[in-house]
Amino acid sequence: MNETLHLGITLMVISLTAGVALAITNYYTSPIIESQKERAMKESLSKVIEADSFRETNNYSEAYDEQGNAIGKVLKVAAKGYSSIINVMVGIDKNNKITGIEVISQQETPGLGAKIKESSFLQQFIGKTLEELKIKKDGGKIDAVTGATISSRAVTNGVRQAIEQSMGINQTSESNAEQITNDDSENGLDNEKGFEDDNESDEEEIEEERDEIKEADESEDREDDEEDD
Amino acid sequence: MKRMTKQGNWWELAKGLFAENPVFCIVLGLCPTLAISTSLDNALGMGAAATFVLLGSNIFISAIRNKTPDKIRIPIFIVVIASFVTIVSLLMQAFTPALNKALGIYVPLIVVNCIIFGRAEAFAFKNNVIKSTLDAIGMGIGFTLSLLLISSIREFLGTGALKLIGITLISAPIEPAMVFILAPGALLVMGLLLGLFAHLRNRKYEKTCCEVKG
Repeated sequence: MNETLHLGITLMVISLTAGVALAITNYYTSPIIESQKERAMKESLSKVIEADSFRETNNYSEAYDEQGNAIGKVLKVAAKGYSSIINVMVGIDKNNKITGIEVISQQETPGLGAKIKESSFLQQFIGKTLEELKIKKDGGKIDAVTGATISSRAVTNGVRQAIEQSMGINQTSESNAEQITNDDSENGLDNEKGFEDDNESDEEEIEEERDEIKEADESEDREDDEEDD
Repeated sequence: MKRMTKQGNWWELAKGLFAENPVFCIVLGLCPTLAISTSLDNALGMGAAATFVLLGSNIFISAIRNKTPDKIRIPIFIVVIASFVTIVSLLMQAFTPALNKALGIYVPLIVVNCIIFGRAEAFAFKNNVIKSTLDAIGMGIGFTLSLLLISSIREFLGTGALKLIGITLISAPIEPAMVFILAPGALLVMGLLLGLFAHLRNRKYEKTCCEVKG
């Protein structure tokens, strides 16, 4: 018992020392690491939009200028290419026009589909609006890479998706703002009524389910009886 | 030529360079060696990190060797080595992020680098702090030199140029062979160098053997 205690205490002392040393190191290095990560993120996002600062959310990054005004968004989309998933980063300004585009990853055919990552192809996306964003074969204004229609179409569709997502985000944030102002003006009675209605329909549904189960059980019993016969 | 006394302190440091080189003679820590040695920058970075951990763990373990019961020495080694590796990893993330990204998962894997655990068990636990420090420095430099040797071969043949911290040292108009940057090349170079070192050691052994026999 004495020996076990001695062993345990020795281990505890060493672990405590290690813990303290690590805590001190972490305390001094974590702010530096944080600023590194922010800088790296800002660098990569600045490739597609000119902004002073960014704010991350679940699906996109909001871009702000020096005064703190929102000037656009950066979205990452995944499009199904010819032989791989093409990940594209798109910068979109407040008028839903493309400010910049970059292909993050792709595994298309080298020399053909892989040319979609070159600036000669990507340049033409900048400044385009949703209507113009189709390859010329499909009636739009984007010149596809020769011999790589599917890859080019994939990138174009991905960018369309990004703009639609961005417009969708703008709409929901606008309608959220509307809802909040509406709730403030009414006194909330409508909401309570709605809640009661939901309750009743739930109970009805549960009763219906119970009836169904009873019927199913009864029909099973009847079948068993028939088999016995 | 007067041979170095095997008991002298200088020998503890010098043995790690050639006679007991951790990579080619004791043959420890091959996994990170094979994975990392694709460029001189990586080799230097990994060598420095591993030497730091080796130094720290050897000194600490040697300092507490009389107080630690034999039964729990292995958990204690692991705690000490892992702490030093975490410290090195945090420092690299903060001050050398590019190197940290290049070395990737092999920085945390220094914990299980057999050189460090092997020296702790075989040497630091049984010798005083001065000798353990010298041993750590010798092994660390030996490890770094081995990495540099393998990396220079692989980088030169695999990319046609040798680059160190952005400066191109040598550049040759040869057609680079990508295989040397990839896993098969690592094993090829490693195998040939191991054979070379074994041959050199055999020759030295034969020479001293014959001297003794007279």
